[in-house]
Amino acid sequence: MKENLSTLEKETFKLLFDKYFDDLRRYLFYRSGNDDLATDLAQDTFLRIWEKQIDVDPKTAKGLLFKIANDLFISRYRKEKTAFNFFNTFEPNSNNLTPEDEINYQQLKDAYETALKTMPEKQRTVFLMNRIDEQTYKEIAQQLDLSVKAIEKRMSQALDHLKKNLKTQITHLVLFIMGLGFNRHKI
Amino acid sequence: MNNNSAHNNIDHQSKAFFAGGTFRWKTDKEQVWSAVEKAMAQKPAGRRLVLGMRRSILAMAAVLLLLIGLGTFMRLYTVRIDNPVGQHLMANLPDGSSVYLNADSYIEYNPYWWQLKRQVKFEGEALFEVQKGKAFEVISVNGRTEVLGTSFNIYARETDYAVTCLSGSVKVTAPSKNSVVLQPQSKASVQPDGQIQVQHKIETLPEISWKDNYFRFTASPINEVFREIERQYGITIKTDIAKQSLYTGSFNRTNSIDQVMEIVCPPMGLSYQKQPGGFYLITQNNE
Repeated sequence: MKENLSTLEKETFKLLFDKYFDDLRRYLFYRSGNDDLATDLAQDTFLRIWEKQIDVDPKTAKGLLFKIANDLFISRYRKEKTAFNFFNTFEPNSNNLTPEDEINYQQLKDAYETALKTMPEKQRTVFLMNRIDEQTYKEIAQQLDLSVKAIEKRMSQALDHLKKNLKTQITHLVLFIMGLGFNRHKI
Repeated sequence: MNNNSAHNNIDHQSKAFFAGGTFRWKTDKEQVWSAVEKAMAQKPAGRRLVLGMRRSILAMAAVLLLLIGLGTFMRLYTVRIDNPVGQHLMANLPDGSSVYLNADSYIEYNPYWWQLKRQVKFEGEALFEVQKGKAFEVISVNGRTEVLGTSFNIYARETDYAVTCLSGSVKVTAPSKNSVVLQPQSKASVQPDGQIQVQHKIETLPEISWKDNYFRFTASPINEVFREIERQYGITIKTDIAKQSLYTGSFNRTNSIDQVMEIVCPPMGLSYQKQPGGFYLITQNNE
């Protein structure tokens, strides 16, 4: 009797994996900007659940996974210095962009890479969960066990950060392109 | 205004930039699953659980060991209060009982075991005022006294052991296992042959007058008197008195040692001589 209650069946475990692995890996990737680290930690999180035979309640499964992942992340990531390579793994959809942005696509990517890298981890995670996963503030708040107010604040801080960091780069870029055009005229 | 629009621009731009992008993971989900499956086979489910139980047994053992260690410490930890010659000292015990120690006396007890057993090792002379409670036991070489809650005076020096009960009742046991229960105003003295001699309805005040610095002797061997003076003043007395005479009289500790000698010696036909290093030489007067 007791065995049945506490034993995690392989089938249940597989369902859990299929349902949440992607979310978990993306979350870890937003935090670290590192593909290998995110994949490893997501894998280890599931293995930990399996080894400890944690009796998973489907309602709280996601929160539990995120909590374990968070603990693993803190204990490991803080020790290792991992490289931040966001756009090695993530490819934006350039069709969405305005024509100007499309022209400067590579430069824009570089500018975002630098801005995301310097953005505080907490802001970055919230920002990307909202922009890429298109999750609402409420959903993010639930997932990270924070208040909606906290998410709003982080989001606004993230936009401020981007504004400051992208503007200088893009201004340079615009000047550079203008300069290029001007030079062409001269020729 | 401008600031706001810049904010909005970033907002719009970043939305357009990030939404609908694709991830190019080095390892896809299926590959991760097969790695997980492999690891699952190596670490079968439930193994950790057994380890966890073993660990909890270890933890329990550690806690048990710690408790035993703590218990042993509490049992054996001893406080010794030594009162040297020439001083009186009031010692308090953990339950509020107090011991008024005469000069050259000591007590020893286990403060952390006190709740379980009120037991004091003791030699010398002291007045005990014991709070009501469990049995209170005073152990000396020449006798043992048990009480519940009372006050009593013990004289346990060299081969002598005498207990005077002031209130409550006390049980005195000689090393020969003979024992007697004392009622207030009575005094038990352990004799060299192991018998206990009891005096009833005695005046108890003189028995504890030492506490108020007043020393009274009734037909006491003169050497015993000199031993008391030695203890109270921290000096050494050398005598060469041939015959053992008995002394009746008193002295007060607030007097100087020379005053005391002046009180004790002449009536007994003795003279005293002060020598360097705290020595006093007592000699018989030539008649």
